[in-house]
Amino acid sequence: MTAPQPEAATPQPEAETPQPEAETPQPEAATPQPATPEATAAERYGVPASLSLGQLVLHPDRATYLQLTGRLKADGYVVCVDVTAVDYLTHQAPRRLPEGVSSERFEVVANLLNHRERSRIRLRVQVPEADPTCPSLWPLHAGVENLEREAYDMFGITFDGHPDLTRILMPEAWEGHPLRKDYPVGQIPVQFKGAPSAR
Amino acid sequence: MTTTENDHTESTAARPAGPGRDQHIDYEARLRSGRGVLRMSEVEAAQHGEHLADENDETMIINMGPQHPSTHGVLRLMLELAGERVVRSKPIMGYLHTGMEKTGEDLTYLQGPTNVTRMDYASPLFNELVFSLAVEKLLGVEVPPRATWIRMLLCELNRISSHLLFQATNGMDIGAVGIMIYGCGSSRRSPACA
Repeated sequence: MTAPQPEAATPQPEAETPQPEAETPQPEAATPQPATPEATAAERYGVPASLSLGQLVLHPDRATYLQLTGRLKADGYVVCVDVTAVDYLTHQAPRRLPEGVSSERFEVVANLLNHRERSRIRLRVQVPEADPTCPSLWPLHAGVENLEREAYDMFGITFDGHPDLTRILMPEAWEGHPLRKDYPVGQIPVQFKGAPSAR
Repeated sequence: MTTTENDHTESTAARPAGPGRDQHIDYEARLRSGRGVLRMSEVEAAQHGEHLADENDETMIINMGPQHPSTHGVLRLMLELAGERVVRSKPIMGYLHTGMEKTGEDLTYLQGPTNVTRMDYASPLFNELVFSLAVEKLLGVEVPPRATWIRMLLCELNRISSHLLFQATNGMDIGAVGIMIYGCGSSRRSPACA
């Protein structure tokens, strides 16, 4: 962690904006409107892209996920920082997704890091409830082995091509996947009630 | 002084080509090869001793832990042994997993830091910091400079105390009790460690 400076405390989305195509600014400057980072990335990688609080987000489908990560790795995004999943069961209603991306119940989220350009890219893959499978990034990033095991354990998403897809946190004979939104938490009767929860 | 430096550089240059600094080692391929990694479920491990696929396979799978003096917290290691030599191992964790992410789903922004601060008892303030930074980024909140400086001071003190604890317990594992005494003494002088 860098030492915090009072001046740097203001959110600066522009400062963190990744510039994957910094070597060709000339043709864009000729056009009347400068291309936004997400439009540049969408054109370069051929997948829908968006910008979230200054962070470039790509939205590949499951067929292009592994291939896109390989291209990004060749482009300098050599570190896969995190692979996790999101269950949007209770937030199905209009989600802010770019054109051409149909929202599904699950999302596999991978965060990639480029040291050379000091930029990060987030990948969001829509995974349907009926067929919760997703390609594994293990052939490209060997370090995701345990991260994908956790996502499988907590969300029940099967990663194709994973060498050892077993539960990592829960016991092996456990039924259900705890971080799914429809997983019953269970309750015990209490004598005193706490503050009302957010839900 | 100069001559020794020169000697050193010459000897480095004259070193025969081996797995040196310039040579590219594919660490990922080494990791992916699975040498030393026991990729086996517990059911398979239980059947390992009963149904031997190979008559000459004399390895044995034993569990080290979950409770063991050298494991901080509760950790089990599934070890494949050939005699006394560890061939492959698989760490099995989750014994201390209390579902804090699930707990966090129902908490408010003000209750959240109290949840994440318990995720690492050695450096709790960093967890609070990243949670606060994430919430502030999502809400577009800017904290005053005074708060930023207080955060920096507390995190620096917490970093010192957590590193002292880490070094001290490292010494304990090899039987050096003295470093634990010194480590705890120094870390207790740091206000971030009660």
